Amino acid sequence: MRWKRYIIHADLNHCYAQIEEMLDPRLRTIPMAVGGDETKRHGIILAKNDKARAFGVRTGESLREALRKCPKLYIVKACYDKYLYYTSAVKSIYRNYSDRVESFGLDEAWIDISDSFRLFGDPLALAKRIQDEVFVKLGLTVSMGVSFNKIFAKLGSDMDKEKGFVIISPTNYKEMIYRRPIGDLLYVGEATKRKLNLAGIFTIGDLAALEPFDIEKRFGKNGVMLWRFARGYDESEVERQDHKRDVKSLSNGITAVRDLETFDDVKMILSVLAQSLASRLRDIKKEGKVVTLMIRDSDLNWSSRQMKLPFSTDIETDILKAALKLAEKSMPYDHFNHFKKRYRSLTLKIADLKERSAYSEYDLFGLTAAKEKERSLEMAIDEIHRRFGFDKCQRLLTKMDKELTDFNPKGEHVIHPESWF
Amino acid sequence: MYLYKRYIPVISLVDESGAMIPLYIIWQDQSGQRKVHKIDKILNKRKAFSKVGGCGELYECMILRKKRKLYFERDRWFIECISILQE
Repeated sequence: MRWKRYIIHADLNHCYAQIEEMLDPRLRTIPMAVGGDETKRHGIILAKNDKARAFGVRTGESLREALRKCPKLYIVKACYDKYLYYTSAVKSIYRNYSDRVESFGLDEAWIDISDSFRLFGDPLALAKRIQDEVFVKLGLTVSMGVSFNKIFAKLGSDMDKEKGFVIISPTNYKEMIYRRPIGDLLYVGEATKRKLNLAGIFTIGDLAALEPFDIEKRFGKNGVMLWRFARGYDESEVERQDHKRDVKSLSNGITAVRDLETFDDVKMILSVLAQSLASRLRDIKKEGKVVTLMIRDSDLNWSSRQMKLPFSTDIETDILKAALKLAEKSMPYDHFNHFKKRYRSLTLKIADLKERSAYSEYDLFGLTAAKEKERSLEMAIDEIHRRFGFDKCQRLLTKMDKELTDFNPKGEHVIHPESWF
Repeated sequence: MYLYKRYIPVISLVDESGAMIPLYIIWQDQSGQRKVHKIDKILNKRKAFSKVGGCGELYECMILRKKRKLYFERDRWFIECISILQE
């Protein structure tokens, strides 16, 4: 029987670690992890191999913590340029077989091969062929899930992590997945899982057995979406390769080289972050309205606060003003501008983006002309940065502590996980 | 005897269609002397990974009547070579 659609989800097994192992096979024999830079304090584990996993090293924990668990752990410094090159090489192999290849982060992709059978024959054999080709040409293993929708394909690729090949067909999907815990389903995180468990839903089958009407009453719209996922009703298309997701928010963050103690430190860092955000907003010709400040203190607790501006903006000063207001509210300090706690990292985010319109909607008593002037000044600074380097034109404020502000969030390559929505 | 990976300078020709053909390899021996060896024949060319690490365009070559695997990895060349010394 032919299925309605054939969708592969391909996942490069512990991506960064595997690329490093491919480049140097000796790393396969020792516990190894790819991590950030400990001296700059971005020291977390980004990926690890199976030998390191056996010691209980987990992705996301700090290097120090990992080294305590496994003192012999060999840490490779992350090199994004390399990972980008090899992951795109993997994707270009996928693209030989279908025009519908949708990336989900660097290492994962959905491939729709429903229509490729006319050229390449049996879809299941084709999936296997793609998997083998990636191995022969690049020496990298991908685990694949083949199914009739994106959700089940993703589930399948997660079932077997070692060059797995799992087929979930319209006839066997009930036996394959209904007994699996609800947490395996895409978009069921810790919080959702707890909520569903409280309602007595522990497996995917439990969720699928419910009535959608009851779910909507209890869990709202997203509950129904999850129920559709569990039933295999998901109809979402694998996007074509030239499809670009609409940007919904921009953010920049930094873990400072030292703990932040005074309000001046925060001011300095925020001004660099705001500058980068404003410049990125102008690059994509959008303006944002909601500014969020996320703070992490030295005990590694996150907290965040957000505010809505009365107007949409892509100007650095506006964003910085809002950010400082947020910082004042959320970071208690004494008379000498010293914080009561020490802070480790700051992230600034701007959301509620929309296209920049030809006319501006500044508030009635705002000075439109002055804003426009400010904007063109900032664009000139952008141009200086582009032509002569980032350090050539900066706020005097940032010169108070050169070490602290010595980073360029716009220029440095930062990769964030992608979201479904 | 074991295989190891060594990055080497290569003299190559880029033809009018954009295809790259390695012509000579430059090999530095233990005494530090550099010697140029002609690549007599390219047996085949394909994308592959190497047992000694890395992947790229593989050129299987005949050099001094011996079959050797020469790889073009991103932007440089390496060769799989045989050493009798144990590590």
